[in-house]
Amino acid sequence: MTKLPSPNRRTVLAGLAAGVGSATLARRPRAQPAAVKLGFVLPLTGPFAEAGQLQKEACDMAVEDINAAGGIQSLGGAPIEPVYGSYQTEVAEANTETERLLSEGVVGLIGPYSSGVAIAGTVIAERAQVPYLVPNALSDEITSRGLKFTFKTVPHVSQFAIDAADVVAMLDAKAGVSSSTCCVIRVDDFFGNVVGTQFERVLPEKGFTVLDDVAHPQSPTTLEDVILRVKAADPDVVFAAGEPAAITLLFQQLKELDYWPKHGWVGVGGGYSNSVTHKNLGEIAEELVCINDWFPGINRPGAAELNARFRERAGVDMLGNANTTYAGVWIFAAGIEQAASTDPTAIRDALASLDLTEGPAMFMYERVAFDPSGMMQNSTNVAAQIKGGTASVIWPEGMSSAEALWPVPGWANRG
Amino acid sequence: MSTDILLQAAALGLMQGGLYAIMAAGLTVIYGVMKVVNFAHGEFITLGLYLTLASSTLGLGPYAAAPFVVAVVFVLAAGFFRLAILPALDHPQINQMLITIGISFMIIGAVQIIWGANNRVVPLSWARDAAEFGPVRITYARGLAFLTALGVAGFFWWGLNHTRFGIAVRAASQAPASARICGIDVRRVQLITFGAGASLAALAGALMAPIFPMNPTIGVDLFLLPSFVIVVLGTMGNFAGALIGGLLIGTVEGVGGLLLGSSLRQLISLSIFVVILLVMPRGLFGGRTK
Repeated sequence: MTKLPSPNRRTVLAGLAAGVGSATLARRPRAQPAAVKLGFVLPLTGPFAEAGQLQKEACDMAVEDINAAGGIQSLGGAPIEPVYGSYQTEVAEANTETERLLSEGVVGLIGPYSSGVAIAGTVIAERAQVPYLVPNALSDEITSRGLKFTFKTVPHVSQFAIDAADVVAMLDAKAGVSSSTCCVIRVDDFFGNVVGTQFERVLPEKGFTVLDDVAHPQSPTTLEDVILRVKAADPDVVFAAGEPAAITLLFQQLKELDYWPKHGWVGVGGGYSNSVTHKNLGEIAEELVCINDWFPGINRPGAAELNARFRERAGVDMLGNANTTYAGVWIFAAGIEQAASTDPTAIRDALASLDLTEGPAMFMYERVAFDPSGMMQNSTNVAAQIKGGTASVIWPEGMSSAEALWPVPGWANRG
Repeated sequence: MSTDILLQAAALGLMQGGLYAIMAAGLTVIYGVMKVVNFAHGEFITLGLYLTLASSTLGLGPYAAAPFVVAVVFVLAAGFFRLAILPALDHPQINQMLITIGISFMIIGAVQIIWGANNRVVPLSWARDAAEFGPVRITYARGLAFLTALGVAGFFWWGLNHTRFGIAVRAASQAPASARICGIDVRRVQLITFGAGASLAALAGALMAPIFPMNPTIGVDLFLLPSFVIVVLGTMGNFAGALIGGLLIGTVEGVGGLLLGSSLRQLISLSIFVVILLVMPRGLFGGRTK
């Protein structure tokens, strides 16, 4: 009979190690593909936070949707991991955050909110050879500098000026009135100055006399002086662009001073389309005409369902910048999918050659394709009028869901 | 530009000046008594706004809530003073400044965690209703804010000059060592004064709540710099100077914004500020003493 050797301490430990090792090997799951880091530069605090927080909500929702749908298939189902950089208003602060995100190895950047930050941030991304998708900032200049890693999905601000004048012409024709004078109200920063330049160039070409171009600080203690200047000029229409905080104060004070332009008020861009602003203003926002690239009432596939999901999540409609940001994340993910790589240059090349006619981003676009400058070829604007707290589409006519009220009566004569 | 519109701008500037006055009065009384430059002052305005919002969500109107808001901020500010500022009072002034900056960040962070970063408004059905005095239109809410601010500031000024506690405050301010010898509990006076100064800021916030959208950084973004300008203009530590300075800056800004444009509204007021400081380095009421 062979006697088994009695186990000593060394053989027991070796046996245990082998057992644990084999058990671990047996239970080891299939290797998860590494997450793809995507950077977002947004104003999450400060006066623009109202827009920034909605953008973040849209980013989170898009990332969750992409990951729930199986992540990036061409990378073995790799999930997207969002990495946030936060700034308030300062370009320098945003630049620091952009540099930080790049140092953390993001494969691309999405954001920001304002044009000044986009102009600077895209240069940093170009230097790092990392693609930067801009789904909100409006300035024409963002894609006019020959940058190869910059992609913009929102219409240029010059298009907003053209469309704003066309919307008023349509409303005038229907109502049998003629608007010939206007004032421009805008924030005194990079974006506001771009708006001022484009409106002053385009509006006279469209037959308007610009009586005054009034700029106000980013964070005003009051806007009564702005209103009194416009009141003194007495225009038919006011064209405006701004940020949610200032727009809220402006409209409160318009009512306090009982001033309203003769025919109406047309606000362009995400600030004027921001649903939190509409909610805060309540009945004061009624009959405001706002122009942006999308509204929930638009007749596009999945638009209503997506808005309902966002509304359940954020408590407000997917307006302002949330819609473009949500679409932007999906478009960027499509770029990674097509590149089948986490190499930023490969993703850039994929984005540049992207041509989508189906997929989640179609709630906003007919087709997703960029021109050689990086500008989305098919980004167009829609006009809506706030009715019962909801933005009802009034232009273009094929997409309209409500009859516009024009001229919009002064405060005392509203129902 | 018509005279009517100029008059309207001046009247609105004066209304804004009333709020500036009460903000600056709180800041100057704190500096006057304990020589602390309070960089958290704007955040006590923010707390006034947000506590009024919280009261509103509980069904309490903004004006009914104001006494509670002021009381809560008094207790909070006294707590900050006792725990963080008092231990540093005998140390270099830069220490106290950095502590108040820290308090400022803490309050901004807490407000953002509790109420979020979005702009918020306090609903008040008659917030936009107004009275007209010839060409000048003033909302009741602004008029009420102006009159309350001036009334409370006037009451403080009277209290400083005609009550035993007011005399103790002035003694602690002018000669703390002598005040101690006379039996005045200077630390207690400082604690109450810090709470009261912060309460004035909170009252300004509560009065503004129905007429001003709020966000967590509003205090430091919008109201800290004007408060400092007014305090220095009216002579640091001079309560009446802060009141007069506030009204002056508010009115000048109102008219300046109309004439030069909103972006340059502070140009006239800051120009006056520079000129006055060149001629009178200790401010409007600093006299000739060194």
